[in-house]
Amino acid sequence: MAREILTRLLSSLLVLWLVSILVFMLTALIPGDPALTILGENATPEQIAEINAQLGLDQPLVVRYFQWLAAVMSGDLGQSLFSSQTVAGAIASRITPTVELILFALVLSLLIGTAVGVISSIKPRSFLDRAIQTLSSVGIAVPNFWLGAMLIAIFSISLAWLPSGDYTAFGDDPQRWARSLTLPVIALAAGGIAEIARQSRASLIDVQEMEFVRTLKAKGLDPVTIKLRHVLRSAMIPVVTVAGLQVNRLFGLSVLIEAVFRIPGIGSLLVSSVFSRDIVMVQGTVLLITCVVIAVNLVVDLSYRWLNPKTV
Amino acid sequence: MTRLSRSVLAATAAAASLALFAGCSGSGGDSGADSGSTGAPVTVGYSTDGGQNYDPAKAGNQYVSVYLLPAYDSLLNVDDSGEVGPGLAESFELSDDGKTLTLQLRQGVKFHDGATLTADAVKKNFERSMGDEGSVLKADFASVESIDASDESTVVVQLKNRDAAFLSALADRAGMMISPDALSNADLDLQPVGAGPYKVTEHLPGSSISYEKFDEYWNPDHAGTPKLTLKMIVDPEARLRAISTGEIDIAALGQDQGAAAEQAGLSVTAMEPKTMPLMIYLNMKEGSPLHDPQVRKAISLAIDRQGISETILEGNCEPTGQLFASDYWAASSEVKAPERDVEEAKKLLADAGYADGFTMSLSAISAAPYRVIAEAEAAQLAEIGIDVDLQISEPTKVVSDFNGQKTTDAYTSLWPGATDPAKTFASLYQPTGLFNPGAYEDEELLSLLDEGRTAATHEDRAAAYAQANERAADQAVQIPVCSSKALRAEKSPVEGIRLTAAGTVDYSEISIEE
Repeated sequence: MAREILTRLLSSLLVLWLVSILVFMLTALIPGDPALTILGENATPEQIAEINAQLGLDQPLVVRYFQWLAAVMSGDLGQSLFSSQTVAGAIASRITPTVELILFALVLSLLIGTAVGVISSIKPRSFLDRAIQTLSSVGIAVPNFWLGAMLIAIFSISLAWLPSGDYTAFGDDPQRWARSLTLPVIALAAGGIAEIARQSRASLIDVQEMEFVRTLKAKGLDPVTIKLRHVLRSAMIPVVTVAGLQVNRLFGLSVLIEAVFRIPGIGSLLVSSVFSRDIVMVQGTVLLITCVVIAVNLVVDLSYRWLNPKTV
Repeated sequence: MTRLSRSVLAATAAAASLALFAGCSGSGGDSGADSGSTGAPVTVGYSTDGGQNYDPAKAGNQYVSVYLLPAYDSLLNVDDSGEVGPGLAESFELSDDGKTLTLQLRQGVKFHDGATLTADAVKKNFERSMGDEGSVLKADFASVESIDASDESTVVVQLKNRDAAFLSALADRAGMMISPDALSNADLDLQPVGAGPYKVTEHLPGSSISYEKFDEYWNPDHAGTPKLTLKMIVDPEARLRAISTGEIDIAALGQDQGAAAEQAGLSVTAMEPKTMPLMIYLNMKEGSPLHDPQVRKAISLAIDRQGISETILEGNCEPTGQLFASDYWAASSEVKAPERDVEEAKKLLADAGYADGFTMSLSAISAAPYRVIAEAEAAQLAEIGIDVDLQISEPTKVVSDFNGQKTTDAYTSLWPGATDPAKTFASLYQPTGLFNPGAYEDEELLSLLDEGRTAATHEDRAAAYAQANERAADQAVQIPVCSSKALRAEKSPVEGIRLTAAGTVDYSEISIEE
């Protein structure tokens, strides 16, 4: 097990390194001039040259990459090109909303998805089951940002029940915080609910057709207890895997949801940094996201082995 | 799951949803009651974060002033007629030869961190602006020879030559005083420390910045909300939504959003900055058809200014033939907005040798209404035989292509305005100007600008600049389309919003009816 972990860690580092090169080059190669953004419309040629020199933007790409890499290795993620804000500081101040968004979406997906899966597995291929399956397909196919926009149109504009932005920290106003997160979490969770519903339905059906379930039935145990205490537990293993992988998917999708609902999280930080060509900020943010994704994959893999001793 | 735990879960869910929807009347933003001091807190939705750098000496973006004005007072102030008046300096005197400026500072002015305004503090600020790496104000101080703090509250500046723009600069960022104790703060750009009516309490870069009234502000007559929050909401639709749902109290609107806002039940006010024209900037380099004044005049005649203003901008843009609104002090009363004349335009093109037209690229940012404006302009130019290659893209790329790489022939956008016309002229007409990428030089125009900069009296300046505008119009150096208004929407009546001479919105005195 230890050797496995070590191998995984080393390959993770390799992935991180490759991602950092790719993102750095891509960002640097998009046409765009951070100097002009900083200096504004009254910039003089001397100022432009000065800023480019100051920020090291006039140096060759490879040199700039290795300077960045060297700094990161010594723990310095760097500073924004546009202000004194450090990358670490920016991430720290913006990570909470993103974590809240992803966590709640994940929990919602698990709770509702499993419940839906249980219901549809009661009578497979019944009308209810087929209806749920169709809805699940829709849930997976629908683009989250479109769903987000629809939710805003209905609940925010027409009915005026919930805000369409207005993210507030929990500490400032718990009620406002909860209300501001409702629609984005739903929009983000829709696909996850559908995926988990599908997965849990499939594994529940598999498990409930196994021998030990028939034995329990024969013993006279009531169906609900069989379902919820015995079948569900065994069926959850693949569902946990799917749920873990959802985190990666949610990270990617949270960028769009943060944009639609104006949530000041990591996703919107990344988007605005790309737009302003703040390459240092982009690098730091992408590095963080890559680390999280790799860590989640690792944990899911390891927990799967631990949960199911049959797979070695 | 046991029966008990299931019912607990159900009860919790029910209670939670009740709590969530309890505040459902949509009161959102203005339910934040004031803390006992007079006036309600005000939240404003603005369209840009202005570059996130709020250090007056290092921030180049014109829109950044919105964020600076509440926290930073400047030494002098300039009014709409271009006259310079007192600010943190309660009086000033310029010698007859224009080379010695004496500033008399107000007594007892405090900064947000407790420091006092002294001549020495002013000197330190100036030196920083002139010498610091990253300072964007060096050009403003180009004619300064020396600065002397002759006593505790007197600053004497020696200039190398008469420089009329220097006084206006002191009414702009060059004159914004930062606390001497804060000058070396590493986070000064994110946490302003000035002597203005508001001190910064919280700043989430790119998202929002909050200020609260500064108790020891030097002007006891200052009226304004106890708590001001500026939220950056880039998307115009999202901004309109935010004010409709009560998340913000005031929203800056695009010129094309007035009708939509009124339909949503908001009250819309149009302010009229004098130096905010919608432009078609040109790369007039040698070898390009745009180098020829006749070609440029043809283009100017082909543009349907009235049509663009009325159809796309809801009439919130007054057709113009010069950079400034006709009642601006540096404008010319003789320059009229050209009437569209396709036949005359075609004739001019043919005379210039382009009877078959030519191809040119025109860029604009992809945000409304600029994209639509560019499309309209392209269609109008097509009528006189100019084939326009439309390049709609994101702001960074558009600016980089036109101003940086200089590969685009034309770019249509809004000039954000400047406190002093010298700055606008420099950027658009000087060969080194950022918005003159082709380094075009019109000798007569440049000498008039020089006259304006070194003029002895304000009247002389105005006269020189009026002539400069006439020359620019005659030679069609750059193409002004219309003079834009600045719209805002509000739910309850707001008081105290004003425009600075640069056309920037000044939120430092606003208050809202409770």
